[in-house]
Amino acid sequence: MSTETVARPAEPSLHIRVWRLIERSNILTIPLIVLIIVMSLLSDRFFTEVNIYNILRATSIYIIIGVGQAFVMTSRNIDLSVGSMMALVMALVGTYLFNGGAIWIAILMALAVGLGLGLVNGLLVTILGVPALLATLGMLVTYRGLVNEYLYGTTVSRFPEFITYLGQGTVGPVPVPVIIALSVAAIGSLLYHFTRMGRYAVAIGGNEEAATLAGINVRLWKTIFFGFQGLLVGLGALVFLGRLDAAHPTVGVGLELHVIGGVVLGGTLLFGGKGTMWGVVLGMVLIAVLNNGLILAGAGFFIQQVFLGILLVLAVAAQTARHRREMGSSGG
Amino acid sequence: MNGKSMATQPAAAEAPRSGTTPVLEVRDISKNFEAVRALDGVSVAVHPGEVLGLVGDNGAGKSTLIKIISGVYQPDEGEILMDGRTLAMSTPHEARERGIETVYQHLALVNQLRVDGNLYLGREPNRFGFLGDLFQILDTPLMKAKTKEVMARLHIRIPGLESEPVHRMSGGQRQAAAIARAVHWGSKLLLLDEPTAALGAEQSAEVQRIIRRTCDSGIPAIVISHNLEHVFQVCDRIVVLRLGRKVLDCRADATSPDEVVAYITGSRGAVGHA
Repeated sequence: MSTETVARPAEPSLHIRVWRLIERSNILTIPLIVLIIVMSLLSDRFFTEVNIYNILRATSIYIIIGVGQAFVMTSRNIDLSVGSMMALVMALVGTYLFNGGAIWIAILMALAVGLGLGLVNGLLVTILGVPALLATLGMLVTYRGLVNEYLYGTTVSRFPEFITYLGQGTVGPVPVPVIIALSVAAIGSLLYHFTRMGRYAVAIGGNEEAATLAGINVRLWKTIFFGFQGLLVGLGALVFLGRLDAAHPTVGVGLELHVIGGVVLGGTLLFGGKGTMWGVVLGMVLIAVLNNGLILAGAGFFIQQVFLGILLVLAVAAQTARHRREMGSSGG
Repeated sequence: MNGKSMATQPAAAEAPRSGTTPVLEVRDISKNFEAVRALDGVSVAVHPGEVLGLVGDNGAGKSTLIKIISGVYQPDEGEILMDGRTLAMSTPHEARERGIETVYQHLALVNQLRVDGNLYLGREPNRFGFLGDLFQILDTPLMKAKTKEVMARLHIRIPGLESEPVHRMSGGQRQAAAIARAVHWGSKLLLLDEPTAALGAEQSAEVQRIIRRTCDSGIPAIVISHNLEHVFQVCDRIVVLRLGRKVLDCRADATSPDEVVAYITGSRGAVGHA
């Protein structure tokens, strides 16, 4: 059989193949390993079991919520409202539990309210056509306003044991929130790689017009991604409720930046079309290790904020450069 | 038959294969956009295995005609027939369900997906039975195998077909992938919008071979192109539109590029038609 080759250099040279290998592994792998080694050398308090579990426990809710954000971002959207949304779920569910509500109803309530608020965001974007950046910025303020109105400066606390177990408990040496977070990342990764949900997130984020022409219900799927994000915010709210054993009006302020920073650092493209769930884990761990290092070095919360802000901007700058290069090199 | 005599009577020009039922036929199609008459009583028939070249200046109505056949627009007047039966399509989805596949000029590929992902985009099969349907688990092995099959049938060889996303491929390879998708799903008719516009000489020749091979297997195609050289290389029949009207419809070997240009610019055919 005669086969024609549509012209392309046959065998990539060695350094191109090595470069592709590096490109395919997560870009954070090497910096993270280097950072951990440096930290271990600088401080004998860093590489201790207690500190490692502290770091992982601190990353848990960011990973849980970040997996949802990774789907939203892959489909070329963004959800800025996650911090306020989590606070609202915590306020409602916390008050319900504070007044002696049943645990299982509280859990269902957290997931249902999260899902509902996520769907609201999705419908604002898909039905009203408000750009996600502004729709969810509006909801960030709205949900926070509802939290303040509902709690009115009060704090609810002292929840049933099972709720605190979700945030503070351990299975053997491993914190329960870490188990939940890694399970969410694993499930997210399976959904991303093997199901229509992941495939359509990529398709819609990569080329929305092509997705529409292919008969994909773009609006429906975008709404589903926002709903999934909301569901995970509900789960994150439960874990955080247990960890703090309290819900107060300012909980989760600024959480969106941490979540988005970690997701982007991990390799999910802000421009859509590509996501990575294990990258979310790596991104969040990197931020936590940096924060931990800053704390061990005596830096306060404000300095941590400065670093997080700069890190986020640098991560996006690196993506922009890479995006330009890849789009520039593709033919046609 | 003398091609010149046909060319002087474009309105009466019958398809040379009038003995067979056209796969698709549009009859007296008109389409207005506000005050602009984009198409004015155009009739075109496509027969089995035929490559029809649709040419004309910008604004001649080529795109409007293609969009009507692909279900994007609905005609104001006239009818569409498939295998001799009237056809009403209100969305591109309906056109695709009837076996009419379009290769858009911008290809409509998702760069981040592999060829198999693009080939099955929006039509992915599930695996693992009930659970697979519940969680919408993609049958990637099946999609890869079928993609290899189509590529082999069209004699397209793309290095890294099974591992690389299409943004790593050349313009010609991406065009080939887009055509392969149309061939895989298009059981009735292929519509190709400027398939060689973005390609170099070698890649253009390859894409033309792919089109020819597809149509030789029986599925007809309508090709829009500005490049008359390519049109004459690949097409069996040429239809010229000018200002929304059909001014020429004849076999490619019965006319010449110079004559076609004359019809496109209006230096021939327009007077008798007005």
